[in-house]
Amino acid sequence: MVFDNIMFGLTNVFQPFNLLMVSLGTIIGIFVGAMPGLSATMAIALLLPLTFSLDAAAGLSMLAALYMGAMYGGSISAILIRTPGTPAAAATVLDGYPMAQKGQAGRALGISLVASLCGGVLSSIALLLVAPALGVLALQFGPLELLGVAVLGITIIGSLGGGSVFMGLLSGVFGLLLSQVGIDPITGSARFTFGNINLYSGIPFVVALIGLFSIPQAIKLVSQKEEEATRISKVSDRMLPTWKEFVPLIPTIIRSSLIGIFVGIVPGTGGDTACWFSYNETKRFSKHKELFGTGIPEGIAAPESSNNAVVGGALIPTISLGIPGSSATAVLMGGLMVHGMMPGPTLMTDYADVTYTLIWAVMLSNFAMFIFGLLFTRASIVVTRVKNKVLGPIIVVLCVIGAFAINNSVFDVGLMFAFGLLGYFMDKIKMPVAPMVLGLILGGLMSNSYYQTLMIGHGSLSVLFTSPIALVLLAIAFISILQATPLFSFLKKKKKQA
Amino acid sequence: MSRHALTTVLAVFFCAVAGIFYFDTLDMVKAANELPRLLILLVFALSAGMVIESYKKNRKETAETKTTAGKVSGGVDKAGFLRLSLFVVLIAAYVFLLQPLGYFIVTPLFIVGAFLLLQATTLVAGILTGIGFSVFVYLLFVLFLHLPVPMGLLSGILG
Repeated sequence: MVFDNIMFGLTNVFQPFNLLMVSLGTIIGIFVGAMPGLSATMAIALLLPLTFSLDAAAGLSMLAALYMGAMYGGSISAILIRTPGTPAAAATVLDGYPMAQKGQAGRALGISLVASLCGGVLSSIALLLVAPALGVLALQFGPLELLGVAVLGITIIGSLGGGSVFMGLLSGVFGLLLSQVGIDPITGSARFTFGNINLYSGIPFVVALIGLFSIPQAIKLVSQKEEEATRISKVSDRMLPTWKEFVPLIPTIIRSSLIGIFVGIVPGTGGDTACWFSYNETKRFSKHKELFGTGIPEGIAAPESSNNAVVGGALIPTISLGIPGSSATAVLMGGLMVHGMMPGPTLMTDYADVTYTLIWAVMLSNFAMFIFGLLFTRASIVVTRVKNKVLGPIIVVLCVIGAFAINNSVFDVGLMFAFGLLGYFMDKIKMPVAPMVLGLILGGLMSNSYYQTLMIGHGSLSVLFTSPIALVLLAIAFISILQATPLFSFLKKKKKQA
Repeated sequence: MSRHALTTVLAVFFCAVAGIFYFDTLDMVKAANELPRLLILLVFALSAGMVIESYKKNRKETAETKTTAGKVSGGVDKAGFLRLSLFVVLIAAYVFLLQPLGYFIVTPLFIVGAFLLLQATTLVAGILTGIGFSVFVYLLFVLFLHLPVPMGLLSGILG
């Protein structure tokens, strides 16, 4: 059955329209990634409404390809203007820009492209092998286990996302609270609508998503000073590395790709974590540590292979368990729901045609990224010159049209703006917004499974103790909160002293 | 404004929303208000935790540096702050006028206004960008994707 679905996905992805969407997504991703003011997550949020009128498989494949393309695209501005196009390319600056300064910008971009291809392919293979296996396990999930999944998803992304655990969890819980707005599916009564008919169907999470991710960025861009960028204005040397140049990079690429896959699987972490993790590990293993930062190939290959490997890794828990591995996959989950597919264990069975097409699209997008990267990298240098003060208003305009297109409602546009302002102030105090979006997405699942659990347990949650899987999930959730508290550091200190 | 002050303001905001939601639960049946009340309680608890954590951090930083620590990152000067505030007001006006005027009238106005306010480009470049962008959205969203766009005053012409 799984093999049949895999083969169906493979044949479906080669449909001309799906190929076109993967190509388009990759090209947009490369250009978006190259622009320092835009992130992959934001681009996916903005383009999500565009997929409404597309077939689910095609639309989601385009967004996944955009994610992959943006991971490479970020290295273009990192190498040429010393400013990472996406947070995942931050480590690439360290050796990418110095190499470009030596007149080897093409070589730097070529190493980045090849490393990105390898990292992306390895993670796509992992996605193809691991997701179906996890999906088979997840078929045993009932209401008790789904409640565990929802709780784990919120707590882990709130506590592992970096920064304050209180802030992360508060963001997630507030998102869960907002997800209660609308008609209660159990009793049929209106909750928190305050007589406003626009709120009867709840707060559309795509609206919140666009507002929380994009408006703060637009406001931030216009408030930043336009830096006098020390830019490399053209790429005149050869891009593709020779086989002799590539072979010594293989161990670095494989190690970094595995790091990227693992980091991607862990919810709350993404390319921005993976790139630094792999750069530091590569430096640690190197016999020439002193050369890092001077423009050496390993210093580019490591972060670039790991940040592309994050894509497949992050999709593993997203597709099989409904727990997003990164902010971008949290947005992609929203895309699944917009097309009527509930993220979680049933994705691999009830929507196998779309899911396996998506998995193969991720694999294919690596090759599309390689081809279009070779063709368009020199052209994409132009977008690195777009001023922040031009980009900011354009982002706002895209947000407005995107928010309106969801329900043909100006109320949603106002809601998007309100979330945007909230997101701006949250960003000011470094409070993560991804948990809030996840709360809005998982709130429905949590609500339904909570009530079903109560019904099974005749009004008591102690029935959770009868499910080993639910207990394990809740235990991991508890530990993930605990590890971020002072108690954990205290216990670690005690252990060291002993 | 210090980060701690802004953290407190946000905590108050979250608690205020949770408080308003709590009063709404008083009119709900028990089955419908159980989970929301649990979440409301968590919001209050986590907000308090966030403020206490921020206060401790602020005190520690102040003691270490002996200055008013923990300024919110990305601070702007007074002129920049005014420009930023006007930009936000401009966005609010854009959203407010979207329905009555329509997307294809208010968007070029917004883009030109924003570019002039932010001194991003020349007036001519702003007008060309505004019109060009509207044409692009019309072709992509309306003609190609058949997605809804508020037409406003142009509903009779553009359909």
